[in-house]
Amino acid sequence: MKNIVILAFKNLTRHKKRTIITSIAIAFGIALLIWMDGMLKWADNESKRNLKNYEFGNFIVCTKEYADDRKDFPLDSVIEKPEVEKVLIIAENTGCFSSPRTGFRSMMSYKRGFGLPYVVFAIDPELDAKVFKIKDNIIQGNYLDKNSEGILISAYCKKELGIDIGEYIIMETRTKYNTMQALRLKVTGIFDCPNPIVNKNQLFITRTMAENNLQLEGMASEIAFRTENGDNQPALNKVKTLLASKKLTLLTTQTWQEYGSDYLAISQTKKGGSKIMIFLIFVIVAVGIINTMTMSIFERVREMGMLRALGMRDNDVIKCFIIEAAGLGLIGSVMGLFLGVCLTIYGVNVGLDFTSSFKDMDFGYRTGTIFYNEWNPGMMLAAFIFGILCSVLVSILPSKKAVKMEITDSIRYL
Amino acid sequence: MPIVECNNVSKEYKVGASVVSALKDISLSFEKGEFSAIVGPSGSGKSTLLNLIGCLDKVTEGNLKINGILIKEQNKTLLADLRCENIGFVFQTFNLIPVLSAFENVNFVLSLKKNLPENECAEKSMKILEEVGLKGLENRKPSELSGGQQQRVAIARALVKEPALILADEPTANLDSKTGEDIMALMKDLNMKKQTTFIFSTHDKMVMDYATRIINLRDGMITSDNGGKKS
Ligand SMILES: Nc1ncnc2c1ncn2[C@@H]1O[C@H](COP(=O)(O)OP(=O)(O)OP(=O)(O)O)[C@@H](O)[C@H]1O
Ligand SMILES: [Mg+2]
Repeated sequence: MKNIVILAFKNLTRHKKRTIITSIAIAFGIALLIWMDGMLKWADNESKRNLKNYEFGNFIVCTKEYADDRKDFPLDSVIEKPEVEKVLIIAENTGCFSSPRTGFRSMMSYKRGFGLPYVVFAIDPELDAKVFKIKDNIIQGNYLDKNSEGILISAYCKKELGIDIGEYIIMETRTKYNTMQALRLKVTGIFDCPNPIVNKNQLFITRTMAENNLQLEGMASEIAFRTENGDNQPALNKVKTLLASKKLTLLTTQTWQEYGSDYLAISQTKKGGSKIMIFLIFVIVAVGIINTMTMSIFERVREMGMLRALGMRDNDVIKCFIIEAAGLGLIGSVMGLFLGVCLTIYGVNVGLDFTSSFKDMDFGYRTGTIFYNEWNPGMMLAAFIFGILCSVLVSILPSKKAVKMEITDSIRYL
Repeated sequence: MPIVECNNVSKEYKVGASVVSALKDISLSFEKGEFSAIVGPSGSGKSTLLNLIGCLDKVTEGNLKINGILIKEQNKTLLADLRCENIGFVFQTFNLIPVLSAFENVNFVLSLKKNLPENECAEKSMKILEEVGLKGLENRKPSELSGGQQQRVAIARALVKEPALILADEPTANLDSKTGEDIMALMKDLNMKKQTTFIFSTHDKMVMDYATRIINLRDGMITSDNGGKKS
């Protein structure tokens, strides 16, 4: 057996160019798999981070009706002031950070330009900064403070409306009582956060402003929670039981996973995409290996016929070819792993800029248009083994051909 | 017991719709230590006969026994093992493995024999290479050897398992007459020393002169067999 392995590996040196070209094809596939997977993993986790850090927190408390159509930000199913206060106490008692927010649809315009639809959130700047990270992403001016009368807009909004810091924006909105209300607000800060949904759609004013001008006295449409140590299930359960015991039965909780089901569906698509990738790479490996092995087998008909005549068993001949293919897969996988690691290092540090190709495309991922990579050692190992396994698998059939021919014909061959 | 025993052996090849009768009712046996030549014109069935004796092909009619074992009844793996234990081959083309050195070519074939310790294998391989006159050339690849030297490696490879029987189909056909004669002298020498049975086919008068027994074939039939006595 040892000699068969040695022969198999020496056979790889017969046509060095062919061996290298085939391994490079395999390496290319493996590297691509590692790189794509690392990028999708990053996009996946980045989306989750951005959803939690800029849009939703770990979970929200809101009314049941609101939970059902949060996407429309309905003002007729908000939490009233006394309940808001109770929920804030619950948050304090469970060691969570919480921020009451009221979101409402508004038309925003600058000078005499067209009005564009946005969602304005009325927030308590101090509390909100403990749940969300928008404060860390101010690129111009200032974040809001409790008495600030201005509005915090996104860099995207600035560009779209052509407005700049210090200028006035007109906000038109419908109040809870269905009357139209227009406000003239000074832009006091501009943020640019990595969550494109927030960047493209959301603007922020203080709750004080909203209470004074929009009849939103003390109410909140949702109360966003940030639990310590990531998604803290016990804290969530505690909040749930406290809501029940405080007779706040009209209120419910919604986690980011529940809210982001649309996004999670994309995560599912990702898995489908990976399957297609894996299949494509299997095809690359299969074509390379089958082609190379078939050539090798035809070249060696006479030699193998001779060895079979001298008593080498057919199974050992097949083994020898399969081990050779495994060797090809091994070389390809080693190179592929190396290349994949290089691409990942590049992806982690520099990333790939899709800004020009994606532009305003909205594809559900909550990521910026520069795509980075995340390390995924499990996938690297899997891709490595996959390369070798594929090579072995697809070589079985051609290898069996090597012993199909009668020995007498093999020896006379050519 | 003879080493090879053919009883009324026939071999037919199907070529399309027609049937070629390559051997017709051959009865023949070889004893241990014989050094026999099968001669005859092209197409007379020499290779066919050697292939049958070598268990590379199956008879159409009749019985063939090697060491008393009836060949028809064996499956592929058993036949491979039987060849591995009992039969060595030398062909007109050398069919060495180009990526292996002379030593490795010989050693590989010996290692096919089960249950042989590695160092014993290596020792035997070195010794047989020395015996065929390749001392000092063990580590050369076939491409670095002359035709005669390559055929010596092929002979060493056939001999290293110490088979009872060596079959050589036109072993000198690809060599010049001087080299051919050296190879025949080598085979004869090994035959004398080890009592290995040699059966070879040839067209060459020089080769026939080395043989102790000459079997004449024509159209698949034996026309003469001197039975080992030189006339
Ligand atoms: N595989 C085969 N298929 C069909 N016919 C074959 C096959 N092998 C040999 N024959 C036929 O059998 C006959 C004997 O062939 P064989 O090769 O044994 O002759 P040979 O004596 O070795 O000739 P040469 O001296 O040319 O090598 C020939 O008529 C040949 O055409
Ligand atoms: Mg012949």
